[in-house]
Amino acid sequence: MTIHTPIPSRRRGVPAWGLWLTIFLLLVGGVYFASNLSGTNPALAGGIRASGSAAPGGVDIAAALGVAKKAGCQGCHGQEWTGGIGPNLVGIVNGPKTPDLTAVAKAHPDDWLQLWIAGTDPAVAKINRGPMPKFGDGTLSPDEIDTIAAYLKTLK
Amino acid sequence: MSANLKKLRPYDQAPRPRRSLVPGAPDSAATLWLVVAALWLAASTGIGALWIVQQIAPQLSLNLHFAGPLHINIRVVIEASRSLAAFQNAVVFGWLTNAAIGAIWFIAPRLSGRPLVSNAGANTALGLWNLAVLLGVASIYLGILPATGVLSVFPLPVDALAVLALLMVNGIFWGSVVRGIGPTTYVSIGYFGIGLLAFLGLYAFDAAAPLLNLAAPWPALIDGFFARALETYWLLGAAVGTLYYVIPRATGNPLYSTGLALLGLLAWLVLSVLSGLGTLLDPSIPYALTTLGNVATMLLVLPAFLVVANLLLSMRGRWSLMLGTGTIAFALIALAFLLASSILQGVGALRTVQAHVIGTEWPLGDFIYASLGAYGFAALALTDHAFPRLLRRVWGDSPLGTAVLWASFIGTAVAGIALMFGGLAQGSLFTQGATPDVINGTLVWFRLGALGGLGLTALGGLGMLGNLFLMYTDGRLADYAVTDPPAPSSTAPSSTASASPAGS
Repeated sequence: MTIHTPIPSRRRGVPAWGLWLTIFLLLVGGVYFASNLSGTNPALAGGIRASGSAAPGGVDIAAALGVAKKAGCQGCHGQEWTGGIGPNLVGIVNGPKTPDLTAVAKAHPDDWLQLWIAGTDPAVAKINRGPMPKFGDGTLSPDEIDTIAAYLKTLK
Repeated sequence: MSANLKKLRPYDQAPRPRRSLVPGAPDSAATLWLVVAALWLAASTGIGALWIVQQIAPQLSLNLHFAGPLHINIRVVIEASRSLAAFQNAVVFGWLTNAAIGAIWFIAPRLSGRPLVSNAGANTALGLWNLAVLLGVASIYLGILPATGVLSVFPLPVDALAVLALLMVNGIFWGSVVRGIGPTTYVSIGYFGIGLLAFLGLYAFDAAAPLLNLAAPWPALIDGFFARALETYWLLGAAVGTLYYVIPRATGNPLYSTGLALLGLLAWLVLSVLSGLGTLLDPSIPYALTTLGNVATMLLVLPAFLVVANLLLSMRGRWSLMLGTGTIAFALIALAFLLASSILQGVGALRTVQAHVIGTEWPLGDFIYASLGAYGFAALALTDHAFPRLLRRVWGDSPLGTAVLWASFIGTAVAGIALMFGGLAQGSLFTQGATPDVINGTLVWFRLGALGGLGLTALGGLGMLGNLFLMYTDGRLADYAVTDPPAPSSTAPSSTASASPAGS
């Protein structure tokens, strides 16, 4: 049997201090809102942040983060891109992080990163990829690979 | 005339009662949901400790590939960002959600005077829900889901299981209480009802969002909004509803003010949805809209303060109970964490602070204060109050009860503080343009503190399971049936008292 055991109350109304506190806090909130109406939000959706660098011009960070999420890049390279199972990608604009890719970077200085991410070009076909997927096999489009590669080069 | 039992034929004997595959006895749903929640507490904090270990030593990560039958490749990735996602999902959907729904099954019949419409249905929902959560956590480690670090959207079949379970939970709750709803309905029912409806709606929307094929950054923005609204509506709402029940019950006092409780409910209802707007951080979103969300997050300190004040004023004359290790001690710790986490979230929502700490470990420290602190201790208070009444046994005299209280309290406080201070340091280093090696070298001390804290909390969870086992096997029997209305001036009706008037 379920026993009905209501909880009584000492008073029904709202005490005056409760009303005054509510009015005071709403006013404080209103003032803060009115003084912060203009500005631009940062592109930080998903909680990802490029270490120590502001968003550089010309790179669509929001799109790049969307591609990163789609491909699951940070599952291996870490939330801060500082490495996990995969290498640390911060500073990759200065060149590859693994010796295997040095020759590719010399031969293709502008797009070695795109070639490596795609993994379908003969230039990188013989390099051991480990757990790195071939994103050019249909997982990511060439435009998406360009977007994420441009973003990764901003990580400093 | 009495029968000679030795001469009875088999067909003369009374048929044995058939045991159903799904238990359907009164209060069985509350018991089972709370027991499963206790298992998740130990498991989730253990995963949290693993996350910190992998932050400190990334080489302790695993990435395995197996060639299974039928050319199915199985991938197991156990690394820091996946452990973080698994930790957050296990805490929110495993520990806190199971505990909150168990609390609802315990509290709703006692406040409404009507039994649950189906304990068997509620137990079926328990199976479906926990199967979904297990599969979801597994899919993070199996590489099926990206490790986003926020509450992940589970694969669609898993989501379907979860939505079905939530539909059943909502149906059983509303079917049980709807006839008793009126002007005198206690405030806890309001929090539970709104929280459950919001949980179902938010979960179903977030599960269906990928079907819309939205372009970036909308999927990430929707996930962020979902995580925030889920926390404020469901976790916060269920915790407050639980505390509004537990404290008056355990003290035997009436609630201080119904009006204050309703004002807090209204403020929470309006501010919770607006607070989600603060997560929409993208240049394409109007700045004023995000600021409105930030202001709502700051103003959430108002309902939190109203709840804390109302319940502390309800403690009048029973302050000695806070010196023990029973329900009231857990509940007061929950209130302290509730106020602290709402203030910290408000501070974190200030534009200047937000720019400094976002992307750092600050939000995770805040998450631990809110989830394991405020909502977790509300659930622990309820379990301390409810299990003796559900199992009709008294907690044992072992020191485990004290150990659970202090291990969980110190562990949660230390882990949260370590991550928040670490986040502040991380933000400063980002601003100075420090290299990742310098950042990781600085953060290692904060992470070690967080590891110790989460490890202690995990031990607290294991202690609670041990204490529960000892109570079930060795606990003294007690009758908690109510015979008289609660008497405010009676002696302390602690959770270990037998035949207590606060037994309901």
